[in-house]
Amino acid sequence: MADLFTSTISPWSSGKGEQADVVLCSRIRLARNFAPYPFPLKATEESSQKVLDIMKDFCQKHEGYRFLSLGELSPLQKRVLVEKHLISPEHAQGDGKYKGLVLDDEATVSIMVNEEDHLRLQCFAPGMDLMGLWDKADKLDDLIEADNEYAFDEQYGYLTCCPTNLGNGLRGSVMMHLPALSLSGQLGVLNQLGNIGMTVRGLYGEGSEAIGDLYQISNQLTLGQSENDILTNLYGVNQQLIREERNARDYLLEHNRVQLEDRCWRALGTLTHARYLSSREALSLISLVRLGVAVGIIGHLTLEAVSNLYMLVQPGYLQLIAKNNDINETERDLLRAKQVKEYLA
Amino acid sequence: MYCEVCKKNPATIHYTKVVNGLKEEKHLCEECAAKLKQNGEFADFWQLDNKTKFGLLPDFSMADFIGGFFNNIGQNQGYVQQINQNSACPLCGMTLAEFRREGRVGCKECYRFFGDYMPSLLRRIHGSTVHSGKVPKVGHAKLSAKRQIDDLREKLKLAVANEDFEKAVELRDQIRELEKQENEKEA
Ligand SMILES: [Zn+2]
Ligand SMILES: [Zn+2]
Repeated sequence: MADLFTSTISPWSSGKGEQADVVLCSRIRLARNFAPYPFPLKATEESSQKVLDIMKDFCQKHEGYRFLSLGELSPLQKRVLVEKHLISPEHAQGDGKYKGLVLDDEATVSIMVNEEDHLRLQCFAPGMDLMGLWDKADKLDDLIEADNEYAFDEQYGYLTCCPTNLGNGLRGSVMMHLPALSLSGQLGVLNQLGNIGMTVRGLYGEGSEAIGDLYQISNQLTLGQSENDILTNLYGVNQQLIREERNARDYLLEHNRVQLEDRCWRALGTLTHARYLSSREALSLISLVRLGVAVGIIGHLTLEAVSNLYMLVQPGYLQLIAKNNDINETERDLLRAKQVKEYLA
Repeated sequence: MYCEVCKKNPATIHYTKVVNGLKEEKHLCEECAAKLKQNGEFADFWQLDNKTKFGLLPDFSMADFIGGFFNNIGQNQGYVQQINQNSACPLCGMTLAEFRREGRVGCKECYRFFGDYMPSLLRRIHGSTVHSGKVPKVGHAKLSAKRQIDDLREKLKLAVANEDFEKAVELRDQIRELEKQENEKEA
């Protein structure tokens, strides 16, 4: 239990998996509701409790899953779960009295209970692995459905609170690190993705800005296409982006090698020697160091080692390990710099 | 991060430009940014604000979208508005006014209750009104089996087209087995 919050292990910061030079992690999310109860938007205390009980029973019945009541977690613990991408910022809001979370042992499965829908099933994998994840999510979905009736309509598919998720309720996302496209001013390509049914978001989903050259690419539409078609499209789009990012890296290495080396090493220098680091600055520096490692400029670090820094610099995480709720921003920046320095030493 | 010029105030304004294929950034406090701007030093930098940063899509609010949708069909004389603004979904109590405001529904019955609005709304959002993905295996076993068989037939076509006959035979057997199971259930 303790290590869930204090460890830096998270699905998106392991640096492992397929195409890890560009892809941080893949995620599949399914929106599901139980037929007998109103959706969380119109739920009563009683119906909300029923939904929580269903998932508590599920955890008892199936080994390897545990249930957390968000009402029993501190705001800081919830913030760390957001930073690990295990819950959404919305799910962390409020007193959490009727909100729950199901996690598997490795925290590669996370089911948000009573978020916008009764269930938001999420499966994570490091690197690019959409099809493997779909397989996993599909089976977990069957396991829950075996004992519970879902809200489903033969025309509309899985019924969800927001009509934008109606149909298969599927959102596949891939978190990409695109520093070379950013450095060479070519990110305009992301603007095109909206035209082909894809959404681009920053690090923390909806509306959040892109820090550290991290972008989440996901499908927009959920009605009228099969899961397989959606994920195949998403995969194709991401392969194209990966190619463009790698081309941009090659171009920079060929034409601006010294400048690029200068940027990457300076970033590492600042990370290892700064006394104060804001999270925004840290994420931009990590981005350059990660690029340096991925293209072989920085040889003594691995992608795994650099990616681990992503969690280490998160504000909630730092505050949690400081064991001090009153730590102010300056103190946090000081602690962040100290942690990073020690980690890289 | 501190302002690059005065090194005193926190940098809140971020500029960027691309030189020789490399991005250059400037991080400034408001004061220094204003001064430099007056001197015309930033003509070739552009300011980043969160919404437009690097082509990120601006915030897209579903409630606004659906609200706008209702306003549009309100003006369309041909559309029959059958539901009174204040009548409510029998299961969850959601009213049409609430649905318009929230852009979301309260329960599975809402999809039937606001059913007149759904097809055109869904067509606008998804370009489709018919689900064609997974079906619950237990709750909707018959449709689920039909979809599975359709799916296998597609794969069979593909295998034949690719002249992968070993795979085709395997798929054909799977289809026969599923069809047999379904026929036994019917009988
Ligand atoms: Zn200044
Ligand atoms: Zn309703």
